[in-house]
Amino acid sequence: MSENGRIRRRAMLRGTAVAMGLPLLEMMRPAARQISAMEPSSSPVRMACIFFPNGAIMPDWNPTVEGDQWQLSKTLAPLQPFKSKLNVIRNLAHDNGRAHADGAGDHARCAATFLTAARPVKTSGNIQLGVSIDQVAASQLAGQTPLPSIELGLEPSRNAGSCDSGYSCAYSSNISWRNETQPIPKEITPRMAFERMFTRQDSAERRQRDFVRQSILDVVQHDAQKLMERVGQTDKRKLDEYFSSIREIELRIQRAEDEDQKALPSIEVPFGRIEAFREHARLMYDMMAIGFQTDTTRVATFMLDNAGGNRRYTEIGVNDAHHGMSHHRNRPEPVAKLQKIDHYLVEQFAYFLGKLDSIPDGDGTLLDQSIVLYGSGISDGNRHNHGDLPIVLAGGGGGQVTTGRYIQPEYERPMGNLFLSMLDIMGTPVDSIGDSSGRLNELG
Amino acid sequence: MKRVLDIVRFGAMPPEDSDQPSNGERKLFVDLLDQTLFSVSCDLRPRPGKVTARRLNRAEYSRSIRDLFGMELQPAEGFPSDEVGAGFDNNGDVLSLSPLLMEKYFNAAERVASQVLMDPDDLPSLDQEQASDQILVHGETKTGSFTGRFLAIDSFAWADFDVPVEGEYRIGVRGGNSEPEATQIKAAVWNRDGLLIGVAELGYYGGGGSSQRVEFKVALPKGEQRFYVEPLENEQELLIGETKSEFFANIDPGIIAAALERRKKPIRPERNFDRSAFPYMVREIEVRGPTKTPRHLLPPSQSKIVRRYAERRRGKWSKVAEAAKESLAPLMRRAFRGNVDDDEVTRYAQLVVDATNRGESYVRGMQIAVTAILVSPRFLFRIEMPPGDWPDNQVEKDGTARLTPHQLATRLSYFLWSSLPDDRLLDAADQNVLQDDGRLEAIVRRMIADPRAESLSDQFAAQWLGLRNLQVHEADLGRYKTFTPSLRQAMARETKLLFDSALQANLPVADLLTTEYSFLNEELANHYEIDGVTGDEFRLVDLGGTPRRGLLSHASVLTLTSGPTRTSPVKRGKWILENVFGTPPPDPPPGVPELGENKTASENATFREQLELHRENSSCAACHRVMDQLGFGLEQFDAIGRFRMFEGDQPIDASGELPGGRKFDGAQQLTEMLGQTESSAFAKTFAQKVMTFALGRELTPQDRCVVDEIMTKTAASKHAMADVILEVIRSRPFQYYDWNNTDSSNPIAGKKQGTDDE
Repeated sequence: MSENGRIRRRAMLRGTAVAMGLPLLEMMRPAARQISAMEPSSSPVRMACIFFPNGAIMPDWNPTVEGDQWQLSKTLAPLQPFKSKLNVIRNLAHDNGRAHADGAGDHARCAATFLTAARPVKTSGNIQLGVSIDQVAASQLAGQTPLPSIELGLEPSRNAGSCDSGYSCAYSSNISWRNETQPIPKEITPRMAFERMFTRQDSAERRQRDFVRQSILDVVQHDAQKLMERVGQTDKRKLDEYFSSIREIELRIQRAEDEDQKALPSIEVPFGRIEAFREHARLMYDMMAIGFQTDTTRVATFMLDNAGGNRRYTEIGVNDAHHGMSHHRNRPEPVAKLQKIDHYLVEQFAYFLGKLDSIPDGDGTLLDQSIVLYGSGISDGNRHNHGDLPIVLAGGGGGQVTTGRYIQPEYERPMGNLFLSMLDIMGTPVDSIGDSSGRLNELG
Repeated sequence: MKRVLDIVRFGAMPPEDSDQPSNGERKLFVDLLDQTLFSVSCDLRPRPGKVTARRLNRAEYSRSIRDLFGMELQPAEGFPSDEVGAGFDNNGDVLSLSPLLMEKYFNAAERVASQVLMDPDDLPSLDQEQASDQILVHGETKTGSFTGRFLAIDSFAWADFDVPVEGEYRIGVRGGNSEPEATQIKAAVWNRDGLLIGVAELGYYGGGGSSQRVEFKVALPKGEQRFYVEPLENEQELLIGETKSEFFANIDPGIIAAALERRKKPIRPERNFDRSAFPYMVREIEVRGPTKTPRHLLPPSQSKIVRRYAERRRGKWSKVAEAAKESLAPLMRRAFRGNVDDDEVTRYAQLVVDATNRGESYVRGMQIAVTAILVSPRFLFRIEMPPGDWPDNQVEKDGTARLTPHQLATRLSYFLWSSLPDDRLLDAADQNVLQDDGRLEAIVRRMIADPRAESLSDQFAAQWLGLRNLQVHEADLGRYKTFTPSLRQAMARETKLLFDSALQANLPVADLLTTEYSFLNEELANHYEIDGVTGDEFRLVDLGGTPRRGLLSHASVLTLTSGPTRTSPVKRGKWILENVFGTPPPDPPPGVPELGENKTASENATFREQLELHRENSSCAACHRVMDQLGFGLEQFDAIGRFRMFEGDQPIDASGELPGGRKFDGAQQLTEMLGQTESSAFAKTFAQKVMTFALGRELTPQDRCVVDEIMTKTAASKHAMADVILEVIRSRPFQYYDWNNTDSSNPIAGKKQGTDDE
């Protein structure tokens, strides 16, 4: 049967990379953008912030230095092709991630502080934190793109109840905060993110309905074919009416799909949930890249897992739960497995950077025009350290960032300082964020 | 030649100024001509005739959906009207399927699926934990590490929840005794009425951030709920569901308000306090549920369709294919009106599997499968074909063969119910009992007695008697102010009720012409000037002492055979010829102008006099003599069926004559005569119409032998209605296929439908 082929074809919405040419870009850009496009080539800067949970095996993360040369570590090795376009930054801290008088709950604080640098109020009810860097930028850029920002993730949010030692689950499940009390739930279904980014609600519903209809048509057509084999001549004519009516509906679906292909970005986004981590993560990265490429948005955040996440990365041979293992007490076996996970996650990040770097933008690539933060709010997961965080900042920020460096400011520089510098690069400066104490001047 | 036959048969020829044959002579001539023309000999066994695959018409579609799911959904609203062939809209040869209709089938199927199945995920539910910092406390308490609330004896903790819907919920309490040794400590859990709903006997909580947990299930009403956790030291008797606390039942609102106020400030853990003074710790109170989907929130069809739910753990579905197949197999058997094999069920179940794989719920998947069932050709069409494993010996020498039991069951149910067979009928087919003549009769009589058999009046009789034309009939509302939509409905209903009651009582067909009773509501009784009937309800009304007898005096028939402003003796005569005599008049010769465009009689001529003009044209005269004479007999009823003695200032002349010259004056005499001499013609017309409806095809010359046989077999009961129906079912055309018959297109009643010729 051609059924499989058909279902596969229908399950995916595809266009061609070629079709994604300039006209689309122009079409999808809002008017304001087109006006500024008339000025000497100045492509906007985009910002993505990616979070991974449970810290990292730091000895395998930190770069090595010989003389004035530095080398990417074992864990960061997948980033080698982009070494000249990124910086590895050390010694940044989230002091608000530390317990102080609040007691346990390091994982809740890990995600909560990651992009806010603020201290979460320890409560399971009336949550209170601070605005996150992405939302600072998004609120200032609002109106310049169809969406001010997108918030993506791979695991469902829990915004009610207590997830970590008396902290509301909202702290562990979100890194984007619109204001002190309002986290922005992340979209975890690629298809939903796609529809939200690129289509109107009614056409999304129509596509969903057409997709289901097509799968139904495949089943009933089979019924009709079986009947055809056995009925007499007159009845065949009646069934022919059925076939041609069905065909008509299929053609209509096909026509709508063709229209979609013309109007939508070239990306295959299946309906429903994606089970496999790698495919799921890469789809989300794709979506961010296309969101930037089409200037649908300039700000994106992405949580690879919720804080304290317990995903089992069985596809790379790690069967233990991530968070459970992160309390490794330096035993070689869990440490090795955790390093494997770190490396695996960096591989997916490298995929994203590759994607960005393959898309021409401004005078260079989309990567050159972006700043991409990758890291966690905990460094050593075993001891729940909130200092010397694992941080990579990729992309040239439209020439505002000098890349290819291993930046080591003095110990305990607040993460908030990096945020202030990033916001400067975005053209959305503020005076302070969370516990920031100034700019991270080393960046420029 | 056929035209000669038609014209002679109903007495239009020879002309009235010639010698007239006797009725016997006329019949003999007609029979001889008929035999010559169609060369049919009834000595041979008649061929069953070929029935074309039939698409479900609107009525059948609606009724099938209704019976499949047990819900009245009106799914066929907005479907285009069905083509009519041989007088009925269930004729396989003319019923077609257009892309537009297919689109409507799809929309209807999706709508139905969403109405008969509801996703429990869409129903309100509660999954809420109140952690220690949100828990309210009263009395002597301490906050320990990880913000556990440590309670002294006589203090207590509580939490409020908003329960979204009545149902059974799980109440969970996390905590435990403060010290490992203090085993006698337990906590009572009270609801807001002070009733004991559970006991949390947890033992030592475990130190640090740990806790023990207990859970119990409680039925909760919708609305605000509160659960108090009170540590108890003494061995007081605690009976869950019985013990009451007056204190909690009548709690001081000040206690609640003060605790709410305290909660506004963050709590700070203390490290060192005497644990023995605070022997019980509470860390969390949770409410989850409802544990089972409350039945009353689901459509009644849900449990009939979903016989088994797939399992879901942490958002992932398992055993989907098994559960879907178990649910879909019985549904498909009914929807497809016969047995379905495992392969077929598997393909539909795969739609459910695919849906859950996409992250949709099981019930959403089932909705998709139900949609697919409703747009399958196996549901939309009634296709009769030999089973794949048809043994050769079942095919008879002439290429005919018996229908399979399920095909017979399907013909039965669509004939008698305009709907699909129920499980009982399918079971009977499974057990081959339909082949047994005695059992078959019992089943047919049961089916006629079933309320679903109202379709025989609503579908069969309404079309036979032309009642559907009443729905689109236009009467001049200036002249006939009482012709309201509700009166129009009442008119049709009277006729259907008469048909129904006669069928249920198994009365002779001809009784329909002569009954001295009818079924009226207040509006129609007023229309008939009959007193003593009040309300919208229809009831049996004695017509003794009124001029009305039987069908021909029903306002429905009288109205639909009238024009907008006046009666039409021509249409009424034609109606009688068609529906009573079974001899529709031939089409008028080409080029005949409408009445009125012709030259008119004098200004003040009666309508009757105007009609006489027909007679001046010899090409009209032959037929109109017959039609008009019959129609004149009903002139005492106006264009919406009201009784009248005058038209304007002219007295009504309701005299006329039947073919063959029998004279009558007025409707009552006409009816009496018809009842006396035309009862078997009427019964034969009924039998022919019933058979056309039952088979969904035009009758062939061969079928007339079958009709004659049915007439013979039912003669003893004077052609009682249910008996005629039973004999149609017993006949070969109803029970057999005709596989080799290529000659299916030679109908006797090849008359164009719906021309009104004056």
